[in-house]
Amino acid sequence: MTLLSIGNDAQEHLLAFADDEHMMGSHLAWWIGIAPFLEEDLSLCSIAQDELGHAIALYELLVDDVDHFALRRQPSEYRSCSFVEMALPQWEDTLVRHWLYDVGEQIRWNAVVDSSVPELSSIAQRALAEESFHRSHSTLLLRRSLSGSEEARQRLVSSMESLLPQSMTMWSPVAGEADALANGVTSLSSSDAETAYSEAVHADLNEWGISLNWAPATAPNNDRVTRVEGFDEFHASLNLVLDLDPDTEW
Amino acid sequence: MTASQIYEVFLKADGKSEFRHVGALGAADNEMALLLARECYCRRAEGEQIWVVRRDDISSADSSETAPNRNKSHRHNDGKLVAEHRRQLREGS
Repeated sequence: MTLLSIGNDAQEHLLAFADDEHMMGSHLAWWIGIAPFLEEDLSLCSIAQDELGHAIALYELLVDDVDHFALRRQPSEYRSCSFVEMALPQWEDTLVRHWLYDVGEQIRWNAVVDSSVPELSSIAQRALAEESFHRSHSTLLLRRSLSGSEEARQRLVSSMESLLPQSMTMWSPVAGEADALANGVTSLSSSDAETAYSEAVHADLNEWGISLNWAPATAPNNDRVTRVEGFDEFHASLNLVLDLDPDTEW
Repeated sequence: MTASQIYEVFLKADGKSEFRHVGALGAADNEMALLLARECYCRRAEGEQIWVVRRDDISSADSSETAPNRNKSHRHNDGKLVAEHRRQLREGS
């Protein structure tokens, strides 16, 4: 089912969200079998599946052949932000990105829960039910890890200082945003979403007694068209099995 | 951070079925244990309700306490003896 009823520009807006979910889910799933402990291995991969499910649901609004669209596009055709494209092989970075992304994701789903596109509204309702658990997972685990050893706290705070500016690329204006707002596809501009995000992140930081020097985003690749360094390798890894026999019917 | 503790996990399926033990996990506290139990043991909706219990809070008995109850065949009554006794009483024999 594709939604040709919404304009191309609005579709571009949804595509950015879908690609963010796709990248985030794929990077979280990277930890399967190697997370620091078994319970987190399973939990993180369960969350990864949820995020990939969100991506599929959004892609289904845009195209008919989801698998091909999700995996076989040229890197320049993706619209994900650099924050979700980065490979983060350190556990503390993955945990911090999980927290920051889910704070943002909840705001993004809330912005489309009353969308003029009924199918999108329906997807948002389901996603929000899942997101409350994702938020609980990341904040509970962070809160407890921060109250551990001094080294653990230091590593997490250092990760926050590094990733917080990068996370602002989630709110770089998306092509088609004006159209999506005018048509009621979404109810929140990227600048309003950014404000809500900053407030939510600050609330968590205050609760944890953390004060960061939070400079405005200076991330180099925030246009959703330029890919981060290493994207080609990551994209190739997603296509590893498909490339063995591209004509196979799955 | 509180050191990880072992929790035993129980799930109750829909309806009248009882809570059943499904496994164990390590978690820092009750809140985390419930969250992890949901992802580790209930991600396919295997249960409708979850219990987590700290293993240290469980009172247990080992085989030294249960062994004396072995080899008591009279406690494995299949009902035949009682049925025969009742039949004889009924028939006045």
